[in-house]
Amino acid sequence: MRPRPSPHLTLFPHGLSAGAKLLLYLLISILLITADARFHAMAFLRATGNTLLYPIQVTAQTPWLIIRQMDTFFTRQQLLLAENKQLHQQAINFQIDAWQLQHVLQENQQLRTLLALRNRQSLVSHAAEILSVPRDPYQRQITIDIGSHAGVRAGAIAVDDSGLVGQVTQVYPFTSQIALISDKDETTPVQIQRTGEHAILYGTGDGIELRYLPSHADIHQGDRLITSGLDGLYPAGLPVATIADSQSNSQTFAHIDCRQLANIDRHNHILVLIPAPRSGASH
Amino acid sequence: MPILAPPATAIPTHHHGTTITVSLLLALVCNLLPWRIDWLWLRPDFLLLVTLYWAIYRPDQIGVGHAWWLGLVEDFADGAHLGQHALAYAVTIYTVGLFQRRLFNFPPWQQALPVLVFLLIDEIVNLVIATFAGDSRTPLYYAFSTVTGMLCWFVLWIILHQLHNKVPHEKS
Repeated sequence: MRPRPSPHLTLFPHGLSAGAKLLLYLLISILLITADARFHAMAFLRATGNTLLYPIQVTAQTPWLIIRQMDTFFTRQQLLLAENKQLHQQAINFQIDAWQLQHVLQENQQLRTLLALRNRQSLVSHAAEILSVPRDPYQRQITIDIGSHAGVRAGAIAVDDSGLVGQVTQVYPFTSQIALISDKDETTPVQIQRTGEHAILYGTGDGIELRYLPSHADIHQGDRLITSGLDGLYPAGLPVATIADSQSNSQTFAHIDCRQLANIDRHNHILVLIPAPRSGASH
Repeated sequence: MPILAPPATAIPTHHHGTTITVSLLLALVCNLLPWRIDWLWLRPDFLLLVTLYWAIYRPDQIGVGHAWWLGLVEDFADGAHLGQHALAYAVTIYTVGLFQRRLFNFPPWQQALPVLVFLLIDEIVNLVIATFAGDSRTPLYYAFSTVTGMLCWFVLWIILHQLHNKVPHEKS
């Protein structure tokens, strides 16, 4: 092994020279990167590493949790009362909506059975907290605090109270990673709410855009995009984005920038929607 | 003013790796802190900065190999390609090793520019690997995190120098 550290800086260290070491590590890295990026062969190593990191991630989160708790502890009572009243009003409104929805759902189900259509899959939702946002600009991904223990599966979708956040890409025992819809590998099938036109929303790494719509498509700034549910993965009707800017110069396809509706910066909580096990196959 | 003219140039070797380990762990925790997405391009890589510090001041303790492993930990934390940061860290620390004697004697304000260059080397290696692995369209303004990293260097230098020289240092 390596000699005991001497009290002075060693002028002539034993062992491999720094250059040789670098070369060795370079080769190992290339092997690792290839195995990981090309063949996805490192799933086990990745899961192990992430499980080992979990306690550190939780530790990093703790000061913020404490600050947030202190913050809420000193909230004025008046504020709470006002908020309570408002929430109460909202709850009543939602209740009325829920009754109507139930009625409509029932009706819809009957109609669907009449038409022999597949029933819509119901979803189970799990509340999750955002643990960390990676530093790496190449990944638009976030880590959340529930994993395979809570029943999360790869492909599950994540929403917050204003819209679609993204999709679960990696599941570890206690944490999982979500690719945001702005991640450059993400595509989301959407529908323009006003016109009903179908389109595909691409993440570009630092934003989202609609591609392959003809330049004469009927699109206005501020139009809302909702999931179309065509791929069978996203349930239909989730709000996704609004049109921010559409330039239709003489190109064949319009260049349409969109703005994401979900705002994970504002709060740390999101919902993960997992398809519920189907109770019975419908014919 | 220790920041303008640090008192000693002798390498103190009489304390063990606990300080180093703890500071590296804390740096990792800083890297894992939740960060506003809009400001991600400003976020410096604390783990690399602390590794740089120890590679300059304790080259007998932190070398290319350690840097590689630390980079691997960062890969796990970031969900990047395994080996991406590992290689970038190793290359960066190797470059530090080439100039270690000179850097060691520089006061921090003179170290700042080389540190910026090291952070840029890390950024470039990352960019090259990500491009080869199939990622494209990197917003270039993310390179600005090297500048914030350089600014953090001063703060880190003061904190780490306090820890580093806490153990008997007869001068001053």
